[in-house]
Amino acid sequence: MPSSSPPQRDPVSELPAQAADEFQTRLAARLHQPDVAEFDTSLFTWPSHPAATEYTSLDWIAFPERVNACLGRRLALHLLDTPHDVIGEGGRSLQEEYAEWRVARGPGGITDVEITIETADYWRILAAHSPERVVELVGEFSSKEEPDVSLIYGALDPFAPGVTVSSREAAFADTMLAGGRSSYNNGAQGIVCMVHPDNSMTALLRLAVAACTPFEVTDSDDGPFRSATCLELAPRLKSAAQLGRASDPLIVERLARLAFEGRRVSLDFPAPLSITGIESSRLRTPSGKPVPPNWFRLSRPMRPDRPQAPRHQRVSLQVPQEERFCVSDLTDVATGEAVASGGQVADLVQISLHLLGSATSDVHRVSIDVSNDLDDLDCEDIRRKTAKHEGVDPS
Amino acid sequence: MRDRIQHGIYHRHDEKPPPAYRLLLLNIRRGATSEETRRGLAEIWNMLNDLMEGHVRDLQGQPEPHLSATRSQFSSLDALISYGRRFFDGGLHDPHLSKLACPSYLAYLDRESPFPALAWSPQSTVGECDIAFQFTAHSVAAVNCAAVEVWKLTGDRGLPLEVVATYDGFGRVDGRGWLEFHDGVSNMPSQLRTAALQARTDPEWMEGGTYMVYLRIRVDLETWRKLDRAQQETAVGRDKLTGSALQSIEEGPEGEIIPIARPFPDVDASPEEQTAWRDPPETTHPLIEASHVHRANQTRASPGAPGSLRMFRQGYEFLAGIGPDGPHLGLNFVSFQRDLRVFQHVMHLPGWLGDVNFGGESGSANVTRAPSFLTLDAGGFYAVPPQAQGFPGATLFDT
Repeated sequence: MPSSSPPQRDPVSELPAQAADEFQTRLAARLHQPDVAEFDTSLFTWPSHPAATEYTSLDWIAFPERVNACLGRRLALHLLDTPHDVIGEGGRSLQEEYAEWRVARGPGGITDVEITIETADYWRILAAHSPERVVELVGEFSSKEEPDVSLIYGALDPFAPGVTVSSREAAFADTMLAGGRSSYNNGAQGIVCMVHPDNSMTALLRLAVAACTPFEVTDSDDGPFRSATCLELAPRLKSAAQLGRASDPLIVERLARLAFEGRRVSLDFPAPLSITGIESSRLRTPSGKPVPPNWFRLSRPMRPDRPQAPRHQRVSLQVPQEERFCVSDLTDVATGEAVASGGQVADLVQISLHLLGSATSDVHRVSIDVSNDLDDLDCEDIRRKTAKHEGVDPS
Repeated sequence: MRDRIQHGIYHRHDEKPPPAYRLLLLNIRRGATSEETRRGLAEIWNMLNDLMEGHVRDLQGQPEPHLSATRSQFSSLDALISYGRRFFDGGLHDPHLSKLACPSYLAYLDRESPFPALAWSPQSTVGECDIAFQFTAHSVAAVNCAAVEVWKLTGDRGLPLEVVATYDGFGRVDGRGWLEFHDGVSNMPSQLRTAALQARTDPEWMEGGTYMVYLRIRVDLETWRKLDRAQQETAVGRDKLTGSALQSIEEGPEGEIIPIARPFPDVDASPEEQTAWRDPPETTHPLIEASHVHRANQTRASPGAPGSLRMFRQGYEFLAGIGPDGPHLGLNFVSFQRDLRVFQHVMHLPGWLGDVNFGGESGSANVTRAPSFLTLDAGGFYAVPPQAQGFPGATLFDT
């Protein structure tokens, strides 16, 4: 790999400064795209408004709640782990809570579950501007000292003189993202970043803008006035949010509430999503002892400048070799079951969305009439994706 | 989905839990068949329905006005039947009592460490069983008599069920608990409760039912009362006298904390002010975020958002006795939710109740900032099937 003097880094991320600027610019431009601009964008700001200094966050569990509700737990766990390249049937296409995972199995069972919340939007920029770093990280994630660059950039040599950033990005996207999905990102050899289209910054921004509208609901003639619920807002979101998920409805309600309070709101850049908690206390070893929290290895801190809140993007669960058992030998006390799937590990992982808001202020709210008859669970797309597994006994 | 949730869960509009509570835990005798168990439960259920109409087995033929007095005694009685993990345990019940699937999160509480921040008390006792009956009523006599009537019937009729434990509780008309704070202020508006309660299919026999968590939590009142009012309010997240939510915390000249609550609305308050005292704007103060009311409901979202982890709480205080070492008292924590997974997350997640015993800053060396005064005397998880022909859960015994 050719060496060159490292470009100036963004102070709070691994991106070169120019790339960080481009990332910001791209996301800002997203607000002007027609499918976002159709919403009232007055209270959602990007980059964040100077008055948006109050921090708040919300969290959810990485396990796909809607898939579980639509398919039942056993089939959901089975299909969520199905490998790898078959987009549209299971696996990553069902991992829809801003977290995606791969499961590594050995002769004794599961040896490793790796979960990432890194977005493809970020990796496109990284791949365009920092091919050395991309190759280094892919090597780290796939445990390869010298990863095959052609499985990252396809036929393009990303280090060749004259190669443009846009050609690198396009080659990376063709090879590693939805169109191609090399084995370094389809779970076979590794997982690098999320590929589900809804697990993206572009989708998250649309959702955030759509939700950040000051609606109010009056339950009776004399109040109380309140912020709308996700079910009440659903018809106004134009498919920006998916009901039944753990994440989207929560994001909708929190942003709607902040708007109701007259706050200007922004995502807390550069890492609005992070892994903030692990329910390691639910797992037991074969001898019944609690699993030490450090068997979950958090990595990819996106705010290394803030050691108290590093905003990790990745976590893996492995049993240390000296223990002579594997992940499949652990038991979840919440179910009494052995860990037989990645979904069970995702059920232990807490994802947070970090927001900034200004102080409360008076705001003109739009009063909405609501119906309580809305269905909170739409399974149609999931059933379509998994139709051929209907009636299958996953055992 | 039509509301088929059993009586005894007071989630419907204008319903309030009556003040008397008793939980009766029963096990099915080893070797009893599914059919014997079904017949036994049907007899108990029929007897309880008769009791609610004032018919006591030992008082058959009772003339008026005595019958009327007995009817009045039991008129407010509600009985709820639920099924514990043990019911589905093939290691304990051979042959299996049911061919239907055990719900995934209907698990035993871990004997070593039930929850990361709530340990067993040294006096812990049985809380798991096959069948749990919850009795609620306006009078203590009604719930106590109901429990004893079950015991009488099992003996008189040789039913394959035996009582293993019972726990009582009471509610206060002022809505406060032993900590002297209002409890239940954050419970949901009635129109949202069904969404938080009602189970979906998976397993199918639970569709339209709900799940119960029962935890008999011992409160070390002496430790709690060592905290001054400001410390208590900061731990709870509410004003002690009014129940208003805290909106900020200031620091006094000596570094002491001064919690500031939302003003309690007077009679002329606007609808928005009426709402704000119990449901204040989003907080950004880390101490308020760490308080009990925020930890127990971090998202503040509606139950239509599955990630909101909402549950419907219906707890009852208890006083088991007072001795030289002080009172033995606490809370029968009772919650109903559409999935037990919700409760497990609340109790295991850091930032929720997974990293503090009650409320306050996780890992704080200052005990006044993260008081620890709760332990677990008994507890169990229960499936509460929907109302049904015969009795709730009768389909479990279908062959």
